[in-house]
Amino acid sequence: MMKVLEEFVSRFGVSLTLDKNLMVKKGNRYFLLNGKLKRFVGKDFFYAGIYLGKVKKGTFFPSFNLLWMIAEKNANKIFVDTRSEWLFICGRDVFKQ
Amino acid sequence: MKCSPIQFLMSGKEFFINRYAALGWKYENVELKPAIRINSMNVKEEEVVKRLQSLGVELEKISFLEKGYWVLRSEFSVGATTEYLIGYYSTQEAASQIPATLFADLKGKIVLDACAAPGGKTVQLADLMENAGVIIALDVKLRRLTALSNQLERCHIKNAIVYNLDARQVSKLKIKFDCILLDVPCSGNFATDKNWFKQRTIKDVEKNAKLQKEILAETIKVLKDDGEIVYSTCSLEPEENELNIDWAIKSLGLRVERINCYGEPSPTKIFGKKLDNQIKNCRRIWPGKTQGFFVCKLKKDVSV
Ligand SMILES: C[S@@+](CC[C@H](N)C(=O)[O-])C[C@H]1O[C@@H](n2cnc3c(N)ncnc32)[C@H](O)[C@@H]1O
Repeated sequence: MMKVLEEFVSRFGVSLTLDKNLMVKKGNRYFLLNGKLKRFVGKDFFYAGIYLGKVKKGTFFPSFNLLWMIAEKNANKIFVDTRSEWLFICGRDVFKQ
Repeated sequence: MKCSPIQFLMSGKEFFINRYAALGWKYENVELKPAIRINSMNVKEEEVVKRLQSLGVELEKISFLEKGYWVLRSEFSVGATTEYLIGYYSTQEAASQIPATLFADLKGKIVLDACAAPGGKTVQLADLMENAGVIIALDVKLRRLTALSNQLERCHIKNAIVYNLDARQVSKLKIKFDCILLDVPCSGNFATDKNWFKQRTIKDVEKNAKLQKEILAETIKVLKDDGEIVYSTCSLEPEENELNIDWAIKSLGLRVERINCYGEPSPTKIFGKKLDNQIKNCRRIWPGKTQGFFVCKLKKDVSV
């Protein structure tokens, strides 16, 4: 379960240490818990802790939260203006536009 | 669906506004102002206010809330800004910002949000808990859990676990809670639904009141002895509010705590029926500045 995430993160030239014991998968979605949540989570949960992303047809789709975590690690970033910021949020290709 | 003659008599605008008059409120139509609540775990309040003002949004601090603002003017929906999408604030009606603030202390606690979707109050609880402790959020409608999850992700909530579970089965989780928010399913009110009078009958009110009692009766089983329940509805109908709480005092051994918030003390006599005196500690909010609302705080009466 870690492989797909590690591969994704490594593309940004950072290493993000995610504790395997605190990661849970529900269907095709991945979540990161903390120690306290881990004690309370049951197997039938719908959502828990930090949502990291999902795998669809073999491709990993990161969550905003995972992207924040990567950005905090000083990964290769670009700075965009407010118009491009909005395009990105709306799921458009910032470079093409 | 056809109504029986009795049901017909016990529905419609006149029927309901006569009930409100009997409770001491004269019906008036209201125009609600949209409101937002700052998620202060994600941003400094001054910063988000400044950013919104620079976009031309006119805000006014809500006097009875700590983190709430009225949106007086905006050229666009305040739910479509970058600041909103990265969780700096939530759009949340003013009265509905009250319940979560009534718990004595939420930090590090185990909290149940028993009827949680679409998650406005779950996010507010997490904000008050500074994203620590644990929130268990339930909703019986699977479809509504997607909206709830989206809110949690948008606002960077880290301390919640969501289950698709009927609150009437919460003891299955085998968890004891310090704080329980019961923002129960209710009949709503005319201020947020312009077809309300056309669509609601006393039968709906009674059906909701029954469900609310069942939720109260089950959740008390998972409340720690010194724990707190905040019960709220956006209904104006006493069956879902004061009458249910009177029943909870008498049948579940709960007591009503004093609270200090916007709204007026609930009447202790309703349609000729004398209720427990503690009912005056509940708060009833008639539509005006906000939508219609009811809220109270309950604890186990350990002296019983
Ligand atoms: C008033 S809304 C809750 C609003 C929510 N607290 C918020 O602030 O966004 C009531 C919710 O209760 C849910 N509900 C209805 N019956 C339920 C039950 N038996 N157990 C749990 N949730 C229930 C509904 O699906 C609805 O989402």
